[in-house]
Amino acid sequence: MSAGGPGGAVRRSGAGELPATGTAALLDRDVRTAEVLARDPAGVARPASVVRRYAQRPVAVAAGLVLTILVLAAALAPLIAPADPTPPLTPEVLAQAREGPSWDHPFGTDKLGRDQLSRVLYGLRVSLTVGIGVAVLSVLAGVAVGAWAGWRGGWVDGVLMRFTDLFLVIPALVVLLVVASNPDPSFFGLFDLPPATGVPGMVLLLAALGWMPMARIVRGEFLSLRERDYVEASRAAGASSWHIVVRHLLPNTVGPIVVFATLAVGIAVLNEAVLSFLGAGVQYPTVSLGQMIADAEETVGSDLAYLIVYPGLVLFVLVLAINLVGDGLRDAMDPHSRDGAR
Amino acid sequence: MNVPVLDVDDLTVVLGSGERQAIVLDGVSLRIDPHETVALVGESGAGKTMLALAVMRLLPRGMRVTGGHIRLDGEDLVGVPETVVRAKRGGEMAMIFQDPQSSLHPSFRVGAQIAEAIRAHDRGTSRSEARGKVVDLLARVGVPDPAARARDYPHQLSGGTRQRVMIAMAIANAPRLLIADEATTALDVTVQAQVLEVLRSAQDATGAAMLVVTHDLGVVASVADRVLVMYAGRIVEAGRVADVLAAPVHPYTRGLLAAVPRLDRTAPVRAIPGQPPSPFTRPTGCAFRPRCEWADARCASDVPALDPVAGAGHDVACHHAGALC
Amino acid sequence: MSTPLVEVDSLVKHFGVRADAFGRTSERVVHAVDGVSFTIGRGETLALVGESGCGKSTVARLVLRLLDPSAGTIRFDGVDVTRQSGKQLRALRRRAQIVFQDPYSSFDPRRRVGDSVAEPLVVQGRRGEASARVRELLELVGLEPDSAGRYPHEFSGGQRQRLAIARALSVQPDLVVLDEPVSALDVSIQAQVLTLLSDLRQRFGLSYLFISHDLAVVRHLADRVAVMHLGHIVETGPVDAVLREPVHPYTRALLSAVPHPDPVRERARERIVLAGDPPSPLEPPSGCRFRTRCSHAVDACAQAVPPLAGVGPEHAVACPVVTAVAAGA
Repeated sequence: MSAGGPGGAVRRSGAGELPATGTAALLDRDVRTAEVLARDPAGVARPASVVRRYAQRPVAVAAGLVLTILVLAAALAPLIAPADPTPPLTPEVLAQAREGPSWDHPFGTDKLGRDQLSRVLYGLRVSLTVGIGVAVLSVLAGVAVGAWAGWRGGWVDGVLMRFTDLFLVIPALVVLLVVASNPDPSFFGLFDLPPATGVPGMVLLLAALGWMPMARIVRGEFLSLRERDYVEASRAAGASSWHIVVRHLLPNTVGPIVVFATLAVGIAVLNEAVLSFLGAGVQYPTVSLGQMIADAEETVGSDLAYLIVYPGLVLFVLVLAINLVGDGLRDAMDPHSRDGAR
Repeated sequence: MNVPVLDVDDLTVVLGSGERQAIVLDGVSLRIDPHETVALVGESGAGKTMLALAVMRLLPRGMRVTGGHIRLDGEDLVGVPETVVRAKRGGEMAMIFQDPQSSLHPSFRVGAQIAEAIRAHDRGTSRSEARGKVVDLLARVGVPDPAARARDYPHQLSGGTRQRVMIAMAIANAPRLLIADEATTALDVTVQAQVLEVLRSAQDATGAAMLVVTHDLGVVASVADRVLVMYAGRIVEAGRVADVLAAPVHPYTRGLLAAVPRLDRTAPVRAIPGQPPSPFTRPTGCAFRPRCEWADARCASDVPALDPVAGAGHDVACHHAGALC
Repeated sequence: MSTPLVEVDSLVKHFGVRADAFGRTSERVVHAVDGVSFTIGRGETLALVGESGCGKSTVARLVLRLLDPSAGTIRFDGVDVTRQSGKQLRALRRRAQIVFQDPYSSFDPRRRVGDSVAEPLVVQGRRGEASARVRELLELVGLEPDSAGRYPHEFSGGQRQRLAIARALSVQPDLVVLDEPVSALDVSIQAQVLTLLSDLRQRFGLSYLFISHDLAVVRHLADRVAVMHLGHIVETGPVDAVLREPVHPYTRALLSAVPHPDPVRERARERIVLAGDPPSPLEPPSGCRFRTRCSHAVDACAQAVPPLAGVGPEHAVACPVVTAVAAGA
C-alpha cells in the first residue's frame, strides 16, 4: 500500500471505494463479487464463497459429481461388486470366460471367466487409495519443508531448498522404470522399506517423487505472508513462531494446498497405473486398472477389445474428473481468473 | 460567446445492471473554461475519479454512461465511436494518474514513452525531432539533466520525478484539457509542493483547462479557481474556492472543513459521525441525511437540487441552505 | 522525577549488510536509522514526523523490538531491552503494543475479529479473560460488542482501525506505538479515530509514540515532536514551539510545503520549495544529510553530522549554521 523509497508516501483507500480489484471482478459480471471484493480484497478464499463460485461452473460441478460417484463406487466395492474379483477358478467360473458385456456381467468377463466390473471396482479402490495416500504424504512432507523454509528464511531456507532440489533432479521416469525392472527397493539393504509392489511401498515411492512442488508453493506463500501486518501484530503480541505459523500462515495457504493435493491425486493415479501396467505395481491377487490393461494388451482390435476398453475408460474418466475438479477449485479460489467456463 | 473547454451536462453513470445496479454519478454537471482550474473534492466513493474517467471515456467495464453529455470544446463525446475518442486522448485531453509507479511501463525508457505519446498524435514527427521535444519537455517540467533522465527506466527515478515525467507526457501535445486525478496524493509533501508548481506553470504555458481531482482541501486552496464538492455521486456545493472554503454552507462541506486537522488553527477536530455510503448503500433523498444534524422528513424524500443560494454567492444542494448561510 | 517510560539512546539500524558465500560484505547498506535519541514520559505523546525514507517507521519497530538494533540502547521503564529475547521480551510485550497504518492488512482475513482482538491476551496466557474483555474493548472503541463474530472484510477501513486500537489495548499497555494510524483513512473518518485516540489516552493515561508524515495531525495529538530526515532527528521540542516557530531549514521547508485549506493565506504566503530530489538512504550525503537541498549550507556542513543543540526550553535543533544565527540575533 505505501510506496517505499524517496518521494513516495502513503496511498489512500476508503470506506466505500471500489478498488481496482473490485472493478476487475465486474468483468465476470458478478456484481456481488465486486461488492464483496470492494471490502475484502484479501480474503476471497472463504469456504462459502469458494463453494458458491465453484457451483457456478457447470464443468467443474459435473466433474465433481462424477468423481463422487467413482469414489463411492470404490468405497462400496465389497458391497456392490456383482462377483468376487479374484474367484477360485472353478469349472463354473471358467465356463463364463470371454463373454461380452451383458446384464450379468456389465463389463464382460475375461479369459478366466472373472467378472470385469468387479475387477474394475476393486482396481478403482487401489487407484484411489494410492492416489489419496500419495497426495496426503506429499502434502505433509511438502508443507513441513516449505513452511520451515519459508518462515525461517536465511540459511535454513537455503539448506532446505537445496534438499528439495536434490529430489527435483531425480528423473522420475527413470526411477519408475528401474523399479519396474527390479521391484525390490531395499536400497541395497540400507533401509527397511516395504516393496514397491505393495500399496504402502508404492505410496512411499510416488510421494517421494512428488512432494517437491508443494514445498516450493508453500515456501513462496509463506515468504510473502510473513510480511503482512497481522503477522507483525502477532509478534508484537508476543506470539511464538509456532502460533503464527499454525494460526495465521497455514490457514491462509489452504487454497494452494488444496489445489495441489487434488492434482497430485490425479498424477499418482496415473503413475500407479503405469507401474502396474509395467508389472512393477501391485501384484496378484490385488487388482489394478493398469494391470488389467496390461493383461488385455493384445485384445486391441479384436472382439475381446472390451477387456481393455472398460478399464482404460474408467481410468481416463477418473483422472479427467480429478483434474477438472482441481482446475475448478483453483478457479473458484481465484476471483480474477477468466476462463472459458463463463 | 465563451465555449467552455469541458462541459459536462447532467451526466449519469451506472454500475452493474438489472437488479444489482448502483448509481455512481447522478446527474452531475460542470464546466471549465480555458486557463481555469476546477477542483473536484470528496472522499472515497464520492465518484470523483469516476467522473474523470468518464470524461476520458476510460470507465472500467461494468460501468456505463446512461445519460447526459460530455462536451470537449463543444463536441459531444458520449455515444461517439472509440476511435474518435482515442484520437483525443493524449492529444486534446490528457490525464495524470495517482500512482507514478504503475502508470509508466517498467520495461521502456521514459524518454521513449514520452516520444511515443508525441508520435501517436503527430505521425509526421521524426525520431530525432521527437527526442529533441522530449528533452525540452523534461526541462519544462523541471527535471534536472533531462537528456540523461530521458534514458532512464522508471524504477531508476524517484516518485516526484516519475510524476514530472507523467506531466511531461500529458502536456506533450498541448492539451486543451488536463485532468490530474489525485496526482500528488502518493507523494511526500515537499515533493507534492514541487509537483503542484509544475502543474501550475504547465497550465499557464498551455492555457489548458485543468480538472484537479483530490480529497485534500489544502491542494484545492493551493491550485484551484473553483471547487465542486462531491458526495455519493452528486455535487453538493459548487463555487469559487475562496467563497466555498471560507464560508461553506452545505453541512457536509462544513463537516469536512471542521474535521480536517489544521496547522493554522488550534480548534480540536470535529468528526462527522457515520461513514460515506457506497454506491450500493446510498440512502434515499439526500444522501448525506443519516450523518446530518439538520436533516428532516423532507431530506428523506426529496433529493435537494444544486441551486444558487442568495447570500452565499455560490451553489448549494441542501433544503436548509437558506437557514445555514 | 520518575524515569521516563521510554529512553532511546544513539539508536542505529542498518539494513542489507550481508556476507556472501565468500565472506565478502555487501556495499549496499541502507542507513535507515543513524543515531537517534529521545525519551517518552509517562502519559506523554511524542510524534515522530518525516517523509518517506526518513526512518520513522523503523524507529517504531525498533522500540518494540520487532527489529533488532545495529547499535544503541533502548530502555523501557528503566530496563534495558536492547538485547533481550524470548521470555525476557514478554515483559515488554505486555506493556507496549502497536497499531499499523494499513487497516486492510492488519487483520488476518480468515479469523473472526473477536479472535484477533483477543490474540494478545491469549498469547500472553490470559485466555480466560478473553471473551469478556473483547466485548468491553469493542464498546470502548465505539463498535457493537456483538460484532466480535464477524470477519474483517465486513468492516470499513475506519472500523478496522478501531479494531486495531482495541487489539492494542487488550493487554492494558503503558505505551502504544501508532504507525501512521490515520493516513489511509478518509478525512471524516480520520477525525473520528483521532478523537478516539485522544479520549483513550486521557482515560487510561497512555503514552503514545505517534509516527506520521502529516504535520497537522501531529499538531492536534502530540505533546512533543521530533522531526526526522534520512535517519537523523533534526529538530525536537514541544509541538507548538516546533510547528509555530521552526528553526531547522528542513522543518521550515516541510511546514512551508503543507497546503492549508485557506485560499487567501495559501496564495499569499511565502513558500520554500526545495530543489531536487530527496537523497537516497543508500548513499546519504556526508555530514548533514540535508545539505544538498539546503539554502543555508556551507562547506562545514559536509564535515560532520551536526549534533542537536538547544535553542529554547526543551527545543533542540541539529544545525550549527542556523543556531548560530539565532543565537547571534
